Amino acid sequence: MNERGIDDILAIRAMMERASKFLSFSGLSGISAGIVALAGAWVAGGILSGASGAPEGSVAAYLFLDASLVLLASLGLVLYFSRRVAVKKGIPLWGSAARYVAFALAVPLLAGGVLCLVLMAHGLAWLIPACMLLFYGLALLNAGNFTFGEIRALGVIEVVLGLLAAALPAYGLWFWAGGFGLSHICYGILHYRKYER
Amino acid sequence: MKSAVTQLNRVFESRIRLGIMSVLAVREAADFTTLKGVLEVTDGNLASHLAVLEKNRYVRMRKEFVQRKPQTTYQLTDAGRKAFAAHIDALERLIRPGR
Repeated sequence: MNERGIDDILAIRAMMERASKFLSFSGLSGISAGIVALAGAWVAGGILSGASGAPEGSVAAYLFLDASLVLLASLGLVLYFSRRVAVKKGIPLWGSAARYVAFALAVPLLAGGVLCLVLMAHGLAWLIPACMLLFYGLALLNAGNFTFGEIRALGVIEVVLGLLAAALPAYGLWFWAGGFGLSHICYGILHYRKYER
Repeated sequence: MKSAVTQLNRVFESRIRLGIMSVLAVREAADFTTLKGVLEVTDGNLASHLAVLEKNRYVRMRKEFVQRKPQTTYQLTDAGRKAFAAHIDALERLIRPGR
């Protein structure tokens, strides 16, 4: 009878978790988004060093275009791989847990995005990598409540890298590549090995 | 003093009914498809267990139209929430007697 009670409680716990958390995240999202970010950082390095042949006055516009393309490509890849997991598990992709995650991410990310534009307008572009990392890290910390808990550790790493990027602006792009590229790839591999094999 | 075993709710003896209650306890409502996906059961199986819970007035069904498509959602009643909490308490006492 005792065994039965423990089994029942374990089953209740598993069901509650499956129902309340967004579990359609795939490690492949992290890996591919990380690669896109590294490519974007490489392009940005080229633009900043003048190797791309971007006219003097339009460096900011080129960087903005580069960042936007990275963002769109990453979002697309995350959606694609999440959909694949959802189909495989037979659960709806856009369930209430997904909505919680989306909202938890959206508020800090929008605030950070707007702040980046404000920094740009005030000639403080050197703070933008730090700002992106910080707000993204906080967004992940927030979203970690509604999905795999390990996401929160990734959030903390992004926050630390953001602070370092602010303290050492000369290496801003390197920290950015570390946060959005390398960290994502490492997290993606760990996630894939733990949950998808 | 009543023993913990007699306080276990017979309605929740089925693993599937236990699962339905667990899912509905952590969200405001869930539709049939969501429940089916989370619990990994067949349509007929899920429907019959939901019917038992409805008959006991632990679960309430609501039919509504979302973008002109009928959607059936389920949520816990107050009685259902109370009964489920009492059942978990009883399970807990079973595992840790003397509390």
